[in-house]
This record gives sequence, structure tokens and C-alpha cells, in this order.
Amino acid sequence: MNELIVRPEITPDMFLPIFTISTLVLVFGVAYAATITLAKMGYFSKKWMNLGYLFWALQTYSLYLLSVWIQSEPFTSKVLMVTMLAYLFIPHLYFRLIEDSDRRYDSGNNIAEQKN
Amino acid sequence: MLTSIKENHLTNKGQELGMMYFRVAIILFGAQLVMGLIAAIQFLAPGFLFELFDFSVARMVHINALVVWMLYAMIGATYMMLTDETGHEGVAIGLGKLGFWLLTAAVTVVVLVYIIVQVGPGTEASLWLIHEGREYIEAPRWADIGIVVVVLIFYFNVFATYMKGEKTGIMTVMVANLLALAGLYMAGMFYTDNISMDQFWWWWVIHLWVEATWEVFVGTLAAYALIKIIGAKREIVEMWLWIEVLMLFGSGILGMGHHYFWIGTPEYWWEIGALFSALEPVPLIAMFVHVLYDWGKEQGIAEGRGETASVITNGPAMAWIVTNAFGNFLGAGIWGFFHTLPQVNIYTHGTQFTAAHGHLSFFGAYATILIGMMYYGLQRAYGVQRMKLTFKSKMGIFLTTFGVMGMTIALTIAGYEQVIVERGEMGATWNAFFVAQNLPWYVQAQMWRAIMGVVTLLGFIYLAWDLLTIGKVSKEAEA
Repeated sequence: MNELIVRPEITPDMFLPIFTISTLVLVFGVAYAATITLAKMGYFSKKWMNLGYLFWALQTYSLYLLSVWIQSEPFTSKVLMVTMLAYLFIPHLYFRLIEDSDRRYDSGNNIAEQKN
Repeated sequence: MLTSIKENHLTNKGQELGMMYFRVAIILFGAQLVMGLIAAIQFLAPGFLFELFDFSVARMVHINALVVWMLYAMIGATYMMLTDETGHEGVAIGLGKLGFWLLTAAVTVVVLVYIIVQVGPGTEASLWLIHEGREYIEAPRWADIGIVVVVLIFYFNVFATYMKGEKTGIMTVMVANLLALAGLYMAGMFYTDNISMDQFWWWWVIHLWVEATWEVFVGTLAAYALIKIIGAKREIVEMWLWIEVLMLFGSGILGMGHHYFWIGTPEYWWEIGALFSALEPVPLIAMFVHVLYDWGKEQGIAEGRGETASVITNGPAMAWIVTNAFGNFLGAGIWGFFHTLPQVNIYTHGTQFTAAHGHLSFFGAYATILIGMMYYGLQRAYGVQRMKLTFKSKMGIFLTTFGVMGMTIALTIAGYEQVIVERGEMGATWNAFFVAQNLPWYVQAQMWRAIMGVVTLLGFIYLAWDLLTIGKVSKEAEA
């Protein structure tokens, strides 16, 4: 016999918190990426990156709350948390790659200028 | 925009063809807005144009015009950058022009049939001659085949020029992505008797266009535009592009699972759809950061050299590209993530939440950057060094963006009311649907949607007016 699939019952008063928390997941995500970006660009001092990590922590907590409120299975919740861990490193990986290609580009330019 | 037909400063025939596509695109954009407004009024007054021009017809023309104008603008943008990127004149631009006229004639006939004939009996003849009844891609079968022929001509032009010219990273992504974009159209060309199977393949076109290939297309346009408009370094821009492609395809292809939740496909799509959909906003954040990072960086370098002027050589184009960075994240990211997980989607599916997401994401992710490319085309056509924002440009951007945001918020409120009353409290019955449609929050939200639709149309009028005049104005200002 097939396993019965039970629809997650969300009470009407939970929809607004769910929509709000899902928005916060992305807003905190952008705030994290923006803070790291602006600090790397030199608009902020590097110490402001700590604020970025606070945004990341808030994002992770919001995603955790979302997964609980929508009654995700424990496995799915764990996968989401692992994804958040990966998201912590993504901006750093980005800027590492940019700095490397900047160095390559600039050294290429210097060689071209020397030839001229 | 029209003056540039006879006298222009375009450096190659491909760009002239690109401008031809842009002109039709903007006309179809206007048609899309008028049809949307008619449909919005019909939500409030169902008797409006009843049995003369029903809601189903207005909506059909509204969403098909949307897809077609965007495809026109995409083809135009590709022709605009083809010779620039490859360093080679397009190999068969004459054939491309023939394709343009064939496509435009076919679109004209199809739209006239939609408007005049509207519907037919449930026979094969209707599928061949009137429309196929598939949302967004309702072209009758004869036009379907014609579209494939025209797209083959277009793709031949792009591919053959690419093979003969320089193979930049941007162009390599463009050529590979266009093959997928064009090929996927064929998944929506055959019919099956089973509605689940039919929807299964239909989503290959719709989802894999808008959440995979179109997004990558936007990435290539943004990369090209940033090099041309703010002088961003190609190597950096291309590196971003490759990462975006990796993330967009990595999340977007299997993210299709969120359309397979409730159409009769196996249940494993729930997990696949949930996981990959949750990842879909990540590349959108990357694209958002990319544009702002490059802009700030290039301006900083210029200021470091002691230059006080802005690095932006085309104000309106850059304004639309920045709007794209925000709009893509808001419309596709936030409004998509709202209801992409199956536990929530079971309640929101088919409500006005979907319409809210659709309006903001199509505008934010695609319309904005394509309009930006039109301004870039105008700058080239008029041979203007610096194109500055005019009052009309600002009103065009402000009113269309404000109007679309307003429509999105109104539709979100209507959708929220549907979720609570129709789905949560009344259990999604047939009766619940009609009860929810008549509640004050829903009716008022639809009224605001119509008002904001008028604001969007006003913004479009300013935009079209600006496109017609800004080239001449900029030229005179520079003289």
C-alpha cells in the first residue's frame, strides 16, 4: 500500500509570519553580500564586515525558522543549514577570484605598456 | 528612434537590423500594456467588452505580446553586439532582414487572428490556424513552424559570425545559450492527449526560458553593457559572467521542480524543486552585486585619476540596468522565494501571488535591461558620445517602475486574501474561489492594480516619447 502523504496544515494566522520570514531570508542575504562587498571595495572599514556576519547569522536563523514553520522534514532543514554554511564562503570566494583576475589583468597591462 | 532609419552612425548592418527589432519590440510593449489594462478593468467590471473582447482574449494577447516583444528585443540586442564582440560583419544580414520581415508579418497575422477570430472549435484546424491554447506560447502551429525558420536564420547569423570572428567569453556564452533558448521552444510544439504530459513539456519552454536561458542572456547583456557604458574591464566582467552561468544553470534547471509539484508528476519533484528553487535567488544576488560593484569600482578608478566626470556614457541605459539589478532580485528573488517551497506553494498556487511575481519579475529581470539596450542602440545610431537622462527618461523610468511595483503590491494583497480565505479557511473549493473573489480586500486590491496599470501606461508613453526624441536632443546638446 502506498504511504499516505499528509498535506502540511498551516493555520491562517501563520501565513503572514511565513511570508515575512521568507522575505527576511533574502533581505538579510543581500545585506550580508552588500556589507562584505562595500567593505572589500573600501567604502567601509574592514571591521564592518562583522556586521555582515551578523546579517548572515540572522539570515540563517530566519531560514531555520522558516523551515520549522512550514514543517520541513529534518533532512531538508539540515540541507538548508549546510547551504547557509556554503553561502558564508561564497562572497569571499568571489572577491578572491576578482583580486586574482585584477592582478593578472593589471600585470598584462603593464607588460603591454612596457612593450609600447 | 525613427530618424535613425535613414541617417545613422551605426558602424555595421547588424546594428541596423538590431534597431529594426527594437522598433517593433517597443510597439508590442505598448500593445501588451493596453491589453493588460483591458483585462484589469474586466476584473472590476466583468461586463466590460463581454462577448466582444473577453477577458480570456485580452489576457492571451497581453501575455503573448509580452513574450514576443521581449524576444524581439533580445534578437535586436544580439544583433547590436554581434559585430562589436566578434569584430566581424554579420555573415548573412540580408537573410536576417528577410527573417525580420517574415516574423513581423507572421506576428501581425497572428495578433489579428487573436483579436478578430479569438476562438475556434476543438479541432486540429484551430490548432493550426487560430491558437494552441498554451499560455505564453499560444501561436498557431503554422506560426510555430515559421518562428522556428526565422530563429534558425537568426541563429545561423550569430553562430557563423562567431565562428569567423573573435571568440570572446561573452559571445561564447551567448552562442551556447541561444542554442538552448531556441531549441527549448520546440518542447512546446507538440501535443499530447494527457494534460500532465503536456504541461510537463510546456514547462521546459517557460521555466527553462525565464529561469535559466533568459537569465543567462541578461547576464551576457549586462556584461556587454558594463564594458561599453562604464568601461568595465572585460576580464573581470567575463569572470563574473562564468560564475553567474554556473549558478544560474546549477539552480535554475532543476529549480523547474517547483512547477511539477501539483501537475501529476512523481513526488520526488517536491524535494528537488524545493532545494534548487531555494538556491535560485543566490545568482540573482550575485548579479545585483556585480553591477553595483563594477560601477563603484570604475568610478573610484576614474576619481583616482583625478577625473570628476561620471564614468557613465549613457545615463538612461545605466539607469535601466541598475533598475534591472534591483528588479531582478526583488521580482524573481523575493517574490519568487515567497511561494516556491511546496509547503507554502500548495496554498499560494494559482492565486494572485503568481501574478504579482510574474509582473515584477518579467519587468524587473527582463524589460528593464532590454530597454537599457534600446537606449544604447540609440546612442550608437546617433553617434552621441554621452547620452544624458532627460526629464522624459526620468519620468519613463519612475512611472513604469512605480506602476509595476504598485501593481505587484496590489496583486500580493489580493493573493494574500485568497490564501487566507479561499485556501486556508475554506479549503480551496469551487465556492471558496468565488467567495474570495468578492471580498473587499480582493476587490480593492484589483482596483489599485488597475490604477497602477494606468500609471505604468503613462510611464510607457514617456518612455516611447523619450526613445523617439532623445537621440536628436543629445546630438544637438553635443554640437
